[in-house]
Amino acid sequence: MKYYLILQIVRIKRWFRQLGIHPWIGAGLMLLLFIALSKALFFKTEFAKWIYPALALTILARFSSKSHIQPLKLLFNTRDRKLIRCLENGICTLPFIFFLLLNQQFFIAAGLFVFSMLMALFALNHQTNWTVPTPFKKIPFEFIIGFRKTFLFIFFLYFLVFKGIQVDNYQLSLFGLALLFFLSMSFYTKPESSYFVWIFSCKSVPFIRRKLLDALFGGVVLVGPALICLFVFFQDKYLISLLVFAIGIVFLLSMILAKYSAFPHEINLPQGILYTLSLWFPPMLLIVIPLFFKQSKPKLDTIL
Amino acid sequence: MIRISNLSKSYGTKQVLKNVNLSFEKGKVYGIVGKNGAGKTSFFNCLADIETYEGSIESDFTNIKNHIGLLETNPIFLSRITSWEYLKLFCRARNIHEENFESKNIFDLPLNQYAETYSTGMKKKLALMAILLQKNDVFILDEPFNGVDIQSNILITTIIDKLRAAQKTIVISSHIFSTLSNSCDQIFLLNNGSIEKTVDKQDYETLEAELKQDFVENQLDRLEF
Repeated sequence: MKYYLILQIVRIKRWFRQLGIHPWIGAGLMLLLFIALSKALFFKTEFAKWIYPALALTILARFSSKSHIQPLKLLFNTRDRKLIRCLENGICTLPFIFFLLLNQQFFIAAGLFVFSMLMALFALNHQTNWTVPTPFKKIPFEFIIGFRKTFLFIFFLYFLVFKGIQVDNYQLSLFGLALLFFLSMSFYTKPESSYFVWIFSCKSVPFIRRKLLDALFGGVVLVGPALICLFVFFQDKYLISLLVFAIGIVFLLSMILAKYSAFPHEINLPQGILYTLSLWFPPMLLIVIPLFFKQSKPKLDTIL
Repeated sequence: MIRISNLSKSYGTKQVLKNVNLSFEKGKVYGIVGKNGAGKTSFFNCLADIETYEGSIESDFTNIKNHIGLLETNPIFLSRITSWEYLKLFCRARNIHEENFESKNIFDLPLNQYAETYSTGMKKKLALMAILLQKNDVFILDEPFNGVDIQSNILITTIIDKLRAAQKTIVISSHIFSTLSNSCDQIFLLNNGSIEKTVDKQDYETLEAELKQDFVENQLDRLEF
């Protein structure tokens, strides 16, 4: 069991090194990012106390997946396996619990802890024949996969949009819409196998164009209904809604370029920093988009 | 016609292919045999232009990669993608506007099920169906019979015959010699990255006997039972 835990640390270190960063610096940066995002979330909305545990549980769900549990079942007896899973879930929820306590959300923090321990006892993601239908006209594949992986979270974000409408809180609805875009961007964070690029019989530019058009379609289908709701219920603020939607689309499209700029590897640290900076200061996209496009072209040309 | 000249491939200091010279004609089926690690998959990856290599691969096509259907030993599947969507992805990749996959479902696969939940044999059949729908000119089939049931085995052999009749070029690797000897017009023996032998149909029996002697009997002598 000890060796298994050591291996997990080794894997995390390797992941940081693959990103081109020293593991300790990477861990420090992640901690800083976590603190900054948490502070921003609690500052922005009163619903943070609910969004926050939902985020933690989304991450925990990955530890309860069959692909994670199956090897553990093969390696360890029930007692050790459950101990490992409790440890993993505990370590993962600890920063969230800490922040909830800091914000005096004692009951939610306790609930999150209890729930994370309960999750350690069960496996999610049982193989099922049920195929989650998607609204993307079966166009493969990023939005379809993303939707199927996160549809519960998507429903939750739409709930935020409707809750905002119900309590006449435009900011909350707009926040829900913006989060839908962030979620869409997450569909493009992991590079697919080179094989799924190789099969295309076109050069890099038409390939990128097709990917951008598919993403545009997916983005409009996923976030469009939320935008229409904002148009209908907050008519006087239609320009802001439209602007956020347009920026969201541009970020989504630039995420695709970011992915292929590092392809077939994951986005490296300098690229990640550039992209994050442009999230804080959107005009930077004017530099970042052409740069990522320029970097993507040769990467894709070698495969296509 | 595909002409391969002095094809070499190295991973770091390890050379896995050494000056391979071969040519593949239209309407012919070629087999590649060799031990695990002989370089078969590397050879296929070079032929499909997935890997960089030294030497040259010339063909009648401007970009050979756009005419190749590659069936990998262990086909990769995206998670939470149904087989129908998988087939659509492959068709879209070659600008083929096909959506009536149910009528072309020769293996009777449950197309609305997630492909990742398929058994090994079903995955192989789905991947084969995808490259068939792409209407490729060249088919590289790496272990197409692995994990596939006997009925589908027969079906795949028939498909290979049909592809040959349609003037396609087919290159197959298999550990099951009988499947190769039934389908192939010529078999190449790959050993340590080099083509050690080129065998025509009339000499298949001799080759099989040699392989059995070399791969099985000589190896088993090392182990005490």
